[in-house]
Amino acid sequence: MTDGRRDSKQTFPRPRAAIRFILGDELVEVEGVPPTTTLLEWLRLYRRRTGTKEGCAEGDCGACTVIVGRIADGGLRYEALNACIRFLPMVDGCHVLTVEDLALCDGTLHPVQEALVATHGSQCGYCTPGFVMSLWALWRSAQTPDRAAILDGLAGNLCRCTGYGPIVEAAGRLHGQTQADAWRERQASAEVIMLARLAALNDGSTLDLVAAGQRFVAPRDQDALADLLAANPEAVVLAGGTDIGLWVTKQDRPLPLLVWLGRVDELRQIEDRGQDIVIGAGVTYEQAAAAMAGLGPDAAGLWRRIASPPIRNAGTIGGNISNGSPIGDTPPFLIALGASLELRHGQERRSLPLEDFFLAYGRQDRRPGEFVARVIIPRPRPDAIFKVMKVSKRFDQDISAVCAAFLIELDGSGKVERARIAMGGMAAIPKRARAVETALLGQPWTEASIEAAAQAMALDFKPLSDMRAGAVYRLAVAGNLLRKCYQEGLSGRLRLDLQPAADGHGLRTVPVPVPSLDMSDA
Amino acid sequence: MSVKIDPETAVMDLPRRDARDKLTGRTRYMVDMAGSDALRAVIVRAKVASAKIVRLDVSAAARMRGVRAIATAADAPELHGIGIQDQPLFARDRIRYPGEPICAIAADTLEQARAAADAVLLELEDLPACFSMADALAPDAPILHPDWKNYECIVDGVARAGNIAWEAKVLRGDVDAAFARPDVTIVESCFRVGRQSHMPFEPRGALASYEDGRYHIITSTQVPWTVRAVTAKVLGVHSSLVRVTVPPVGGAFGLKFDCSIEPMAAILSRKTGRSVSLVNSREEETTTCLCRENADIWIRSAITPEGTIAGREGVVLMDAGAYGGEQVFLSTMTAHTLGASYRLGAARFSTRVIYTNTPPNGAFRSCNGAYNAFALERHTDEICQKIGMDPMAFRKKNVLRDQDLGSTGQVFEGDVLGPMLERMEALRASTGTQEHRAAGRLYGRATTVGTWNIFVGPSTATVNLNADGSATLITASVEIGSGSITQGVPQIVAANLGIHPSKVIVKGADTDAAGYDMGTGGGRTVVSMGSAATAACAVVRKRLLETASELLQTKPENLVLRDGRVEIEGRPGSGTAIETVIARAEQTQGPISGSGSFTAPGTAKAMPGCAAGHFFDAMDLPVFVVHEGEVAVDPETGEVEVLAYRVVQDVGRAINPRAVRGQIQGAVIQGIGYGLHEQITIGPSGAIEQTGFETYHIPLAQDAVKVDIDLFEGAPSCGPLGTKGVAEVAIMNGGATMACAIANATGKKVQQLPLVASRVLGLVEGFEEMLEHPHISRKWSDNILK
Repeated sequence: MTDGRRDSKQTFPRPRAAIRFILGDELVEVEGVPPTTTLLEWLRLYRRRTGTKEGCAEGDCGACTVIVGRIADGGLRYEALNACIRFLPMVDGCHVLTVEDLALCDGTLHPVQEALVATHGSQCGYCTPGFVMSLWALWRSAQTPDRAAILDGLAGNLCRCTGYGPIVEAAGRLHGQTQADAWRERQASAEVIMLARLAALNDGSTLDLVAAGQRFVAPRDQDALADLLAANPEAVVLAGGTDIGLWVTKQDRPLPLLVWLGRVDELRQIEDRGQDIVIGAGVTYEQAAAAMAGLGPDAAGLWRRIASPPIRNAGTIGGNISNGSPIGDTPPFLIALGASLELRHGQERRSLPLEDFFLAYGRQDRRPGEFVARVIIPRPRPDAIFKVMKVSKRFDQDISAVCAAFLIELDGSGKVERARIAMGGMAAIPKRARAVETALLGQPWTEASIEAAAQAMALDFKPLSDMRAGAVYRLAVAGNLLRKCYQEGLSGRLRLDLQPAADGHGLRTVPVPVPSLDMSDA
Repeated sequence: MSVKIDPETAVMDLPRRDARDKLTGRTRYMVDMAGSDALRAVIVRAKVASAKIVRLDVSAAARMRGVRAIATAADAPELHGIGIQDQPLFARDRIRYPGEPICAIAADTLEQARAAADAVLLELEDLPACFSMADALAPDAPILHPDWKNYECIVDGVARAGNIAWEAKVLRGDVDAAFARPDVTIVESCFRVGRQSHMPFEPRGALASYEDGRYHIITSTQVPWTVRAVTAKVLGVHSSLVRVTVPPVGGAFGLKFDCSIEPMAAILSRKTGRSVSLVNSREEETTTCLCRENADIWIRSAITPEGTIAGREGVVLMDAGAYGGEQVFLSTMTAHTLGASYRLGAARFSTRVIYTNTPPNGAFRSCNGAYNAFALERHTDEICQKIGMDPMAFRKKNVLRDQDLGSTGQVFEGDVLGPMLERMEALRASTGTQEHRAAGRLYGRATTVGTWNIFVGPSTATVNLNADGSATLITASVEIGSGSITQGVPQIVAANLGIHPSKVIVKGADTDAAGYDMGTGGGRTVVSMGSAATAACAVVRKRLLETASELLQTKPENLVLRDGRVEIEGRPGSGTAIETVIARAEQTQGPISGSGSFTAPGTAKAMPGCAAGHFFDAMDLPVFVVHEGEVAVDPETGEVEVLAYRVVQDVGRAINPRAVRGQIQGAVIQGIGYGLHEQITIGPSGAIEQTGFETYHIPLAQDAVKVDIDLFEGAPSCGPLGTKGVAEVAIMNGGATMACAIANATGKKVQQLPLVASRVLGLVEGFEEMLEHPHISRKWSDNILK
C-alpha cells in the first residue's frame, strides 16, 4: 500500500492522515474512520446528529441533504449535497451545515423554518430536514426565487405527505419573513469569518487516509494523479461519488484504494476556446451549467433535467462518461456535438472521439491506470439545428427511457449537409443513429425526408424492454422525436422548451418563440 | 348531563405543535433511537418464489464474528393473519414469495450481521409457482396453501377454496331480469391496475428490548395494539407480556397498519438480553412492500332509455400475494366503492382474493377504493359515450341521494353527492379552466365521483386535568403525519374543556398507558378517538362543573367552560379560573380524570341476505368526493401534464381547515402519482422489480399541481362536532380522474393504470393491447364458489 507514496511530487507538503472540516461552528478532526464512511453515517452514528435522515442511501430522495461550503473563486460557495453518498474525506476543508445548525441558540427559527411552520410544510416530518436545507440554499442564492427556480431548487427532495403545495408556498415566502434583513446580515458576517477559517484549513497537502483496510488518496495536481494511477492500476477513480457512493451503500463492494480527483484544480477548469469548450473531468454539472447553456436552449433544458441540484453539485461530466452507462444523460448530447476525450495514462496522453469510447455494455476504451482528463466539446455552427430531448416517466430526477440529440446542418440549398444523431436508452451503449443520418444526408429538410429517415431508426436500434420502457415504445418515441425535431423547427419560430414554464407547471414540450433559432431561410 | 359544545369554538387554523422539532431536526423517530449499545439485526430473505425448505442450517452463521443471536421459525411457532391466520413469521417448511423472511440475525454491527447472513445455509427443493391471478385460477394451478382448510378464520362459513383465499359477495335484486329487459343498453368493461407502493420515508422497523420478563417494542407503526397482539400470537405468549410504544412515525399511508417485523426484533432481544434494532433497508422496504394490490376488474351494466342503471354486475380479483393479509378484510370494500356512488336497480358483485407467489399486498390509503373508483368512473364514462349522454348530467341523475339504497341495501341519508357536483361546477366557474395551456397537445377534462367509508371502530381515551389548568390526553393513537392526534383530537378536547389546544398535552402511544385502539388509519382517528376523547371530557366536565358549582354557588347547568375559566352563562369574565376548580377538586374528591370509549354505532344496516363474506355489510360513516382534472397529452411521446385539479370533498366539519387542505393536497398528489407514473412491476421470478426511489417514481414538486379545494360541510356525521375523516378519501379519485381525462383527451379506451407515457403513446398509436380478461367468466355466477 505504499506505491503511491514513491511519487516525488508528493513529498511537499507532507500527506495528511486526518480529515479536517468545520461542522456548524466547530472544527472537527477525524482520524481512523474507514474512508468510505459516508458523511450521513458519520453524522448519525458517530456524532448522533440524527436530524439528517437516511431515506434511500442512493441520492434519490433528499432526506439527507446537507449544505457544504467551500472556497471557490476567492469566495465561499455553498451547495446542497446528499450526505448519504458523500464519503467523509470529500468534505475535507469544507464547512458542513446540517438542519441542527440553522436556528439561533435562543430558539429563534431561521426564515426557512419559520416559513414552513406558517404553511404547514411538514407533516410526518421525515423528509423535512432535507427540504429545510435545500430551501436554505435557495434562500442564500436568491432574494426572491421565481416558481421555476423554486421547483428546480426542490427537484432533489421527495415528499410523500404534503403534495408539495405548502413547501412551494413557503419557498415563495422566504424573503418576506420577519427580520429577513437581519438574517442576511448575520449570514454575511458569518461568511467573512468562515472564509478565513476555511482558508486557514487549506494547507495544500495531499490527503492520504488508511483505515480498516482501505486507502483514500486525494492528490493535488494532475501529474501526481497520473503517476499514482499508473502505479496503482487497480485503484478506483472517484470524482463526484454519485455512482461510486452506491457501490458502498447498496452493493457492499470492497474499495481497497480510492483516488479522488476532486482536489486536482487543473481538472476543475472550464476553458472556452471559441470554437470549442474544454471541460476538466472533475468539473461538476453545476459548474458546467453556464458554459453548456451557451450551446443553446436545449442544452440548458437538458442540464436542468439531469438528476437534481444535489447530484448536479456533486456529479461530474467526466464521471458520467467514465462509468459508461447506456442511459447517462450527457453522452448523446456530447456525441451529437462531436465531442472528444483526452485520456491520460502516466505521462502518455491520447485523444478519442467520445462515440468510440463506449465499446459495449459496461466496457469502455480505457486501460487500467488510465483516466479521462478532459472533454472537448465543439461549438455547433450558429445556424445549425441542435435539439436535445429527454423522455422519462417523470419530468424531474428520472433516468431517461430515451434521450435523443440531433445536430443538423443544412447547405445553402436547404439540403442536409451534416447530421449527427445520438441516442441513449436505445442500445447497450449511447450510440449514433448512422442509418438515420445516412438517410438524411443530401436530402432536402422536408417532412418526406424525415419520414423516410424515421423508418431507418429500426435499422439502427433494437432496443430492450425493461421496467423503464418497452422496446416498441422506445422505437416509436425515437422516431417521433426526430419528427418533433423537424416540426418544431419548421416554422422557424419554434423550439422545444425543456425548461419549466414561467409559472412552473412543468410544460414538457411547448412551442416558444425563439428568433435566434430562425431556420426559415436555411 | 348533556352539554352542548359550540363546534365553532373548535375551528382554528393552528400551526402544528410538532413543527418546530421537525424543522430543527430534533424529532426522534424509531430509526433515530438505537444508540451504540443496541445490537443491529438483519433479515435473511428467500430469493426464490416457491420452494420446499429441506434444511436450514444457521450454525456457521452463529459462529461468525459479532453474532449474538439468530431467530428462526422454531422461535415463532404460531401463524397470524387478519382474516385468515395463514402466515408464519419466518417461512417454515415452504417458501411462498421472493423476499419471505427465513431467519433474523443480531450482531454487534450491521456489517457483521450482513456477513453472517451470507453464511446461512438453505437447502431448497423447487416447487411450481403462480405469478399472476390468471395462473392461480387455472384449473391445474399449483396450490400455494395445501393446508388452507385447516387455517383459523375470523369469520365462519366464508367461501374459500385453494388459491381463492376469500370471496365476498353482494347480491341485491333480480340482476338477470334487469339485463333481460328489452329496452336496456348493456355496457361492459374490463380494467386492470398495477400495485402502488407507499414509499413512506421512514422504513418499517423496530427497536426491541426485554425488560422484567416483558417485551418492549418501540416501533414505527399505525397499530400498536395489533403489534402487541400479533407479537404475542406468533411467539405463543400472553399478550400482556408485550408493551408497544410509538414515537412520531415517518409516514405510513396504510403500510404500517399491519404487524411485520416487530416480533423478530422481540425474539432477538429476549435471546440476547440486549436492545435490538431491526430496520428494513430501502431495497427491502420496496421489494417487500405490502402494496396496494394489483387487481383485475370486470363490470357490466344495464342502462334504461331514461339513463338510469337498472342492473349492475361485477367481478373484482384482488391479488393477495402469498398470504391473505389485509386483502381478505378489504374485499369488503368492493360493495362500498364499486357498488356505491350510484343508485342501482339490482346489483351483484363477486370479490375474490387470490393467492400468488408474489410479495403479499396490504392496506393503502383508500385501499381497494382507489382502483374501484377508477373502474367505476371509466365504466360510467363508457356508458355515457354509448348512450350519448353528457357525463355530468348522467352523474347528477344517478348519484346516491337521500334515502337511496346502496348495493347491500343500506339506506343513505342526506343529499350529498348531488350538491357536491353543483359545487364542482361553481368551483370550475370561479377558477376557470386551463385548456389554453395545452398548447397544441391533446386536451382532456373529466369529473369523477367517489364514496368511501370511515373505519369507525373501538377506541378509548383518558383525560387528566393538571394543576396548571392543562389537560393530558392519553391514547394509543399514533402521529403518522396527518396531525389527527396531535392537532385534531386536542382541538376537540380543548373545545370540550374551554381551554386552548396548546394546553392539551398529548401522550405518545403506549399500550401500557392507554387502552385499546383499532389503529390510526382509515380516516378514523378524529372520528373514533375524537369521540372517545369527547366521552372522557364529559366525565371531566361533569366533575369540573360540580366542583365549580359549589365554589360559585350556582347550579352546574348555569356554568360554561370558556377561555380557561368556569363562567356563569351569559356573564363573560365571571366565575373563576379552571386552576382554582382543579385545586379545589383535588382537595375534596381527588384529582379530576375521566375516561371514555367509543365504537361503531351500528345504526347502519344492510338488507338481510344482500352481503356474504363481508367484515361489515353497511357503512357506518360514508364520505364522498368529487374530483376534476385537466390534462394535456403529448401525442408524440405520451407524456401527460396535469394542467389543473379541483376537489370538492365532504369533510363534515373542518376544525382545522388549513390542515384539512394540506391532507387533500397531499393525498391528491399521491393519487395522481398512482394514475400516472407510480409503477410496480413483477419480474419473471415473482419479485417486485423496483428497489427504491430511483425506479419507483413518486411525484416531485415539478409534478405537483396546486389543487383548488372546496370543503363541503354539513353532511350527516356521527363524528364529534360533525367531523369526518379527511385524509383517507382524498386520494381515491386521483387515478380515476387521470384515466377519464386522458380517455377524453385521446378518445381512446383507457383500461389500465398507471398511465405511464409508454402506455399513453400505445393508446394513441394503437400498440397498447386491449384487455379481455379471459380468466373472468362472462356468466357472473361462474365467478362464485358454489
